[in-house]
Amino acid sequence: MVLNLDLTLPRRFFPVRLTLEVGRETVALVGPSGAGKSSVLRAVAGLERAARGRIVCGGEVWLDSDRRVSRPPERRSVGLVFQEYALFPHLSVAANVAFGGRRERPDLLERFRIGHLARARPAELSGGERQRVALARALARDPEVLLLDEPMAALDPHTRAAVRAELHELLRDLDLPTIVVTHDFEDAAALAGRVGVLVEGRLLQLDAPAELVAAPRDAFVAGFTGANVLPGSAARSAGGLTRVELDTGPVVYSTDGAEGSVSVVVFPWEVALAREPADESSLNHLRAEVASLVSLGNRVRVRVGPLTAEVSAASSDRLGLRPGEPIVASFKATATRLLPR
Amino acid sequence: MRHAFPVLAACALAIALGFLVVPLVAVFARVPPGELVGQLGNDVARDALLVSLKTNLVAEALILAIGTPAAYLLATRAFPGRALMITVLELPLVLPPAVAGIALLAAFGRLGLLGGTLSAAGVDLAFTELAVVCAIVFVASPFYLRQAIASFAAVDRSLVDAARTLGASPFRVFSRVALPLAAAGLAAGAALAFARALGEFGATIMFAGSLQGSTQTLPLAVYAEFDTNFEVALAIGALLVVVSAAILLTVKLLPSWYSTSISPFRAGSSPSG
Repeated sequence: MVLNLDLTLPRRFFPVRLTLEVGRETVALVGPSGAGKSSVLRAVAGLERAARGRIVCGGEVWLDSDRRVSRPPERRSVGLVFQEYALFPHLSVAANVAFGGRRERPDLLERFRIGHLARARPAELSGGERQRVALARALARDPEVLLLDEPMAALDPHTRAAVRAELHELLRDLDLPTIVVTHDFEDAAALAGRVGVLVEGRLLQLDAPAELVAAPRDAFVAGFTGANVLPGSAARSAGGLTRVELDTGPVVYSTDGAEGSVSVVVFPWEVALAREPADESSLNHLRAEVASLVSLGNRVRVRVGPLTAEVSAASSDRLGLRPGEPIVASFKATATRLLPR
Repeated sequence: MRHAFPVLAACALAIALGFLVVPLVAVFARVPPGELVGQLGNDVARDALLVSLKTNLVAEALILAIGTPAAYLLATRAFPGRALMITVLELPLVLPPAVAGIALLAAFGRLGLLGGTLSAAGVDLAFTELAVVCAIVFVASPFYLRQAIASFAAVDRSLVDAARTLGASPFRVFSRVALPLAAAGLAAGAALAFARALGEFGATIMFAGSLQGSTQTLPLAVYAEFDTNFEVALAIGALLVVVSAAILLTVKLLPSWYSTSISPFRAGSSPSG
């Protein structure tokens, strides 16, 4: 089973253009809101009347605008999980799940651990329970393609990690061509084997999550994966290094070769913090005040001048980090990526 | 002087309430309730009640059967001329009833635009029960259409989309999703249309006349009786006041009753709560 897309979607500010082949795998489309991600899912489901191009699923042509073929949504075998889930508020959980297949599906209720909620109405459910009902309902028709629109957005942060792991397992077991849309790179990396970054209707890069982190093709992709992106201008320097004068003033070095306007890319976990510049191998040191501290369980995200550093809670405690105090942020030239601007 | 305005506003409220309530009370005050009920046994009252009941039921059935799918189409599809269509459908709301009556005569009367076609088909509308139904439908259906369009348009678009991706045909989307979710609004619209239809006077008397036992509805009977048999007119008036008040109460209570029946927590009709 393969889903082939070659789509053009007219939209108000820019058209969405996307060519994508999805086999039995999960592909995530990430990007800022308004980039056209949801429109792609709606086009695959047949809900976007203006879609042009071709959509072929396992040999069946769902859309071929040149030959004026466009199957209505009810004749495309898709399971679409809507953002906010779009459960029917007037129907019970069991009736919601039975809607697509037109018969009760106690097996699906059991599989998604919502059997005890069969008689409940959607308004009585928690976010996680609603998501499971939405998944069960989408799968009740045995779709050939699964589409998930921001499946985690309606969840509170506490349930998010657990649900993410569960969803990952489910997608692996289903083994269907699946497209997940999300604005969160971590969700995308956790769920999908390949991640496409969609900005203003264009696919900037489509790669494995690790590859996007290691070799972002442009500053936007880098920023999206959570990296620090600092503008500056580069020039060759001694010892095979590139010297970059940041637009904010400080100078940093990179082992990447580049000249002219660049974006300096550094991941937060590559940034070390210390009271004084330590006598170690890092070439780059920025001294600035701690702007903010955000605790993420056993990690702390520290905002230092233009940089975000991520350190363990233990080292944050050891350093006694407080907002307003000066600190030195260090990172290696080898961990400093340069991307043309 | 700071309290002058609140006092003035309170006076205005008192005047408005007094002016609107006193006539209603007067209907019941003049004749004792027992006698009022007795007067309804009068021939004219009984015939009018029967005519009103029959014609209103038929009219209401027509309004619902034709108005519901028409409103659904107008609420859910975008097409050129849609806004104009809605305006035209709403026009009878603001049209003087007498104009509605003369317009119906001009269209369906014996000498009207379609009169020849109708009589060739063996249908003679003017001054029949069917004419009463026509007059009622003409003036009352916009009340239902307006409310129905608004109710269908308020159904969350993503629920309709969800139903379609779950394989539902357009009819199944309408019957299983849109109709139940719009039901409270539709019922309120139906009740308003019924109230308007029950009180219809001007268009009916011009297009259908006021013949006891065939076209004389309750409001026409009030008019016919008030100089000959004032107490019968009052009794019919009292009946109409009671029925109208009951309809108004239904319309007001319907939405809150319906939302409790959808969710015991009254979290509203959106799945995101």
